[in-house]
Amino acid sequence: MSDIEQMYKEVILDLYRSPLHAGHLDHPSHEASASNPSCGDVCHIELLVKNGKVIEAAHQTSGCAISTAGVSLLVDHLIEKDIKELEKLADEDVLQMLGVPITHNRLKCALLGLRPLKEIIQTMNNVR
Amino acid sequence: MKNIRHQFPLLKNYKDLVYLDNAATTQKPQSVIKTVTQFYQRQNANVHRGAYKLSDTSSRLYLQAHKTIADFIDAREDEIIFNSGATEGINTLAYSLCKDIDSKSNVVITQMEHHSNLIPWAEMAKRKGFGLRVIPFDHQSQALDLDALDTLIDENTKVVSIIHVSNVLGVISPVDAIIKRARAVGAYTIIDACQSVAHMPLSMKALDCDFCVFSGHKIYGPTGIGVLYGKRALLSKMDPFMYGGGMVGMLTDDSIAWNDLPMKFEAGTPNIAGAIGLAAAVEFLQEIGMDVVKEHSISLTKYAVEALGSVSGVRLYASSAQRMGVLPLSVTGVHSHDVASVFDSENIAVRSGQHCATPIVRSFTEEGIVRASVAVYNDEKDIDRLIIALEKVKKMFKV
Ligand SMILES: Cc1ncc(COP(=O)(O)O)c(C=O)c1O
Repeated sequence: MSDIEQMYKEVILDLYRSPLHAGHLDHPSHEASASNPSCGDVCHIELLVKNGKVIEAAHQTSGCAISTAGVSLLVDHLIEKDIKELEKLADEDVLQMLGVPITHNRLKCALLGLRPLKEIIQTMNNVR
Repeated sequence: MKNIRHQFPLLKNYKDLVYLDNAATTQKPQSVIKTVTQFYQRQNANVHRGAYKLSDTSSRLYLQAHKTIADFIDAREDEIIFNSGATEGINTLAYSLCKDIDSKSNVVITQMEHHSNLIPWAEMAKRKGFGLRVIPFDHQSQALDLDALDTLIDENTKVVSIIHVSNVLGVISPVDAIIKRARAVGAYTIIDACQSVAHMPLSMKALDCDFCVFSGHKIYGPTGIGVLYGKRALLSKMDPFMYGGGMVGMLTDDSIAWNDLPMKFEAGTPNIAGAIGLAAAVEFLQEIGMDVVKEHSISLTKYAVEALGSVSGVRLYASSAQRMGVLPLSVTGVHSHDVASVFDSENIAVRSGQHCATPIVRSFTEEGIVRASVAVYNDEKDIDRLIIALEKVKKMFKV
């Protein structure tokens, strides 16, 4: 498979067409947004956190295949995880979830979802 | 046009590259690279200063560069101010012209502006409390809507600053009508010629604008050099934008007289190599002839518009507009970034996204726009490759 075919593997395209956990939560405890001004991509993440654990998660993402798939996989990963654990999530972890080669200029697409997540965790820590 | 591509070392180094991101920046011909290299190897010294031969040479070349640019846009050499680029040009004008503006005044731009001709005015409007008015783009007629021009530009309008050719759509603004109306109310007029200057002959006399800005790197010159043209009569009575060395005429204990034009507006050591390199780029264009360049841009754009029209599932924005050199597209069901990535896999360089012109892009789509833009070294084969790549996008994304 060529690099480009790997980048747009069937799983990525599937997630683009039907993102996981797309939509809203009925009663989110936390939410945050991020956008990439140069491309116009936007992502909004909602979480329901109880006792330091993510119970439910959802997102609305408008963007390219890479950002939509990236946010989908990230949000899927959050469910049932402790915030303590999620605090450690790094760029590499999200790239690993995607599992496809990402060129430098597309990194900000792949990592779009991390920004609202970090913001949520930051707010929680500030409150604590 | 023949024998153009081989004058560009980068294009020779990447034989398979189809470079269609020329609205962002163009590649550089050998003559420009050689001029800049030679300057640093044989002519480098600061300008306007030393009594020695080298400084004399560099000063002469730097002055000559003003003259070359002046001839190119049909202006006087003392009306050509070198700066770092269009962004600096508009910012200095925004600061200068808004200095004494009151909250009853207004500034008029268009919906097609690049952020560099929007944000400086928006910021000034916020600080000074004046109104920022926008000439809208009409999607029906695919042109700027001048119906309300006479109310948009009124007695309180102080500045009218408009893009000449849209960097997103390639659509040409009706600058004559807008400048005429601005003149009638006594407003300053500014033309952002970043895109137009690459594709058509420009005459400051014929345009009759007060100011005009463009960047060297979009017309085959180096990065970091740009031009601000201003009418001599206006520049003479305006205060300097920046203060420092090189712009002072007479300095006594209690008074300062500004240097002559254009030095009055070129404080500090200028980008000498950039200016000389830009002059070489202009000479490269003059050798081809701007009429020939224009003809090439028109015919290649037309060829592309027709070719794109035959590809199903591909939308060309403002498809029937009068346009120059820029082709804004989308593939139905595929985000612009993903299209550009697939193009890249075929060695085709295009831009995708918002193109620093959010208002006009958003008026068409939230998904960003794929933009192919042509230059003198592009030909029909490049467009054919683009069409083939579009088919690949459709196949990969099953649309
Ligand atoms: C129409 C237009 N105006 C202004 C600019 C800003 O030019 P620069 O970034 O070189 O200052 C650009 C460049 O993208 C442009 O296309």
